[in-house]
Amino acid sequence: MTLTDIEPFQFFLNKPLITTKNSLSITAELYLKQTEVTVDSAYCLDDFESSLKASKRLLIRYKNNLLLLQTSIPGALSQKCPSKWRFIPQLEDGEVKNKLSNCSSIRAFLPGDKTQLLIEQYSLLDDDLKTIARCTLYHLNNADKSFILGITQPLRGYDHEHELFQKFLYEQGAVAIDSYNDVYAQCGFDQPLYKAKPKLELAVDTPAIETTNHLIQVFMAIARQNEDGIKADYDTEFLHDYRVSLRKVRSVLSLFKGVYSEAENIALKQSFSDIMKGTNQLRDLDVYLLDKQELVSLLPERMHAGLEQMFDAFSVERKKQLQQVTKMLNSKSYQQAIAALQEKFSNTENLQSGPKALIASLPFATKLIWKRYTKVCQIARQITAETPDEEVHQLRIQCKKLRYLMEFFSDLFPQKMLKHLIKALKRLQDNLGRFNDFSVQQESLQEFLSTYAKKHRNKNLIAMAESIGALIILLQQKQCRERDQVMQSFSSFDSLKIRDEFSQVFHHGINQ
Amino acid sequence: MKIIACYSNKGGVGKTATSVNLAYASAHAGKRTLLCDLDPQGAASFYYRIKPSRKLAEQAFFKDVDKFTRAIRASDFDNLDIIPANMTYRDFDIFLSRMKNSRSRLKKALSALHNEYDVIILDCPPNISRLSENIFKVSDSIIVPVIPTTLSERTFFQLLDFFKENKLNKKKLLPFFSMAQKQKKLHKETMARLRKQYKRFLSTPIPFSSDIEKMGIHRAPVLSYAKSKAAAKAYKALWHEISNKF
Repeated sequence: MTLTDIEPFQFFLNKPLITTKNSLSITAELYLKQTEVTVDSAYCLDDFESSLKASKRLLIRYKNNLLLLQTSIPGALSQKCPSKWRFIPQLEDGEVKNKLSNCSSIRAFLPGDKTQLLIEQYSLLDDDLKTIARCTLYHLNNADKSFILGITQPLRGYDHEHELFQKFLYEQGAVAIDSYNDVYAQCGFDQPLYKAKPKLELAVDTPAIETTNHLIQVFMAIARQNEDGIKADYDTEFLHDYRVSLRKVRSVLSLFKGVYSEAENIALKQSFSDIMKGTNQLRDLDVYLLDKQELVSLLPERMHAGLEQMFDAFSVERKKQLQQVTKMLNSKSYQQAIAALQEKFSNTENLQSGPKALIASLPFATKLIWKRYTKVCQIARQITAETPDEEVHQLRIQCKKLRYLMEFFSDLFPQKMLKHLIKALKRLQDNLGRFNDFSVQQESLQEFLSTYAKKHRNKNLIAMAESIGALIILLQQKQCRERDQVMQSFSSFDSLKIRDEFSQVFHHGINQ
Repeated sequence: MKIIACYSNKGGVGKTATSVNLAYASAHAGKRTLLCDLDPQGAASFYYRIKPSRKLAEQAFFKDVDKFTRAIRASDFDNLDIIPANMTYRDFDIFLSRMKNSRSRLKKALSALHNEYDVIILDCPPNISRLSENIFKVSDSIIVPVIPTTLSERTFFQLLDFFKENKLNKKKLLPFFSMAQKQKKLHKETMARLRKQYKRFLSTPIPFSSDIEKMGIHRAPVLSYAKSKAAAKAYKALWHEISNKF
């Protein structure tokens, strides 16, 4: 059966509605009455990846309220937020939190410029003073520009009247909203769109050295876009993306053998390793602190206090590390070194080329990927239940290299099939990744405990050691469970279909 | 979904005021509520400023599920919708017979409303007839306003007899004292006597109040314009008592 679910109308107005004594006649029987006006200072918010703008949503914060406007139904949502709000998990359950659930929970929502927000509430009344519809106008007044966003709230059974109202609004110059890009641009979000994984545009016959330079330039630019966010410590993703991008540069250098001369390659690898080295500890601490809740929840409550102490120690250490990283990023030596590297990759003539520099990109890529794929299979097929963990780690590393290669060169291959293969590989990697994470966590907990024990001799040490000991045992069990699944995960990846597709795309392939 | 009928076989006992305020209290408590104005005078709709629907007078109205649901109007208050019935007795007859007939489209319409509403309140016309029986059958509870006077007492027992004769479930009947004046000796005595005679009387009386009479001027439930007054508080308490029975 059809119900009268009239859709709200969301619109931009280029001028305010002119009312006489706060009311405005629409037809002989209908008139609009202003019922409430509030003014506050406000900020538009989005994360560094412009997740909201890209998904046609506009988040506005005024006082301790969040207002989420979206082009899809129901249009406007609101809820309270804490006074220093940045992350989704800090919100209590509510309609805004619910609608934001597809954004990253570890990305900070950052405010744009301070803006004035004037909210006008209107009721559409008939001659019996019955409310027929409601309407809210949001005026965002910035230094030199203002926006009026409106949204109607239709009431059941009054479809026709809502249509009349909509017609009236069009006559007043209303334009239906299909994105909030202009609002964001005006409210302090005018920087270029950031993408951690942009589309890498490559051509099949470009010499390998040019493609290599291009990839490194792109990754370096992404790393550098994150520098300010690391220093401001908005969220941990800035450092993560920074490091991932630089690691990609290092992978390119180590995987693309023969593009640059050996001496050049060694020197470059050293330079990037030096840059990243200073951030290792900060990232480790970020990872521990991000895992805090999950790790704490593994233990019974009586053991929580011991762990809390450890995390407190991590927080203190993190502050120090952040200061050091900030100092490093601000230092002249870093800025000169990174700028020099960027400059170097801007022209192939700045680099000593190697024997494979001039091979066309497609055969170059195909050969590298195929070689890595056969290596993954070779290691994986020998793994049994008895194989030492070290071999499993090797498999993980080879899979990671294969994944990087496939992603670096993805533009050169048929997209649909490549996506499918990457997805299959990712499933295997997820298993191996968890296996590795549990192993690394055990090691670092052990290491923390022994360093801490050497420095601090206090009565709390026993409680902490107990908690950490219990956690290590649990992590060991989890690691074993992941280990048990590796053979199964690989055999799913090693299906005839996927073998065939790898061979088609990267061996006697459809491209050659 | 619960269906609550507000019924009295005697006029002028505060039945519509009760429907209107209980519907408001229910919606205010967060229950999605539909108030069906089955009284041909359409007073419940009037109090909510909803114009009588011309479509409803059409003979074909109840044959068409779509039209039935399309007649629903939002009130000015969250969670509260109204069917402005303005029904003729003939329509009412069809309404009930279809409600009873499990294959009728109206029954389907009502069951479709299941997902939409938590509470349906029926403001019924004042007469006992073969047709009223059907309301008594479909409702989960029947709220009966009783003025604590001898005449009202008599009509309430007539209703009780009607239930016995027709083998209807008496437990559904939830009488309460309406327009009660504590200062009147007669009211006090009648209330005490009736409570002894019939145990299922709701404990909250609705006082006689000029605030309730003013509903016609305000065209809104007492609970919305005089919520701190005794009458409004009594309606709220009455709703609380009724909803606790579910």
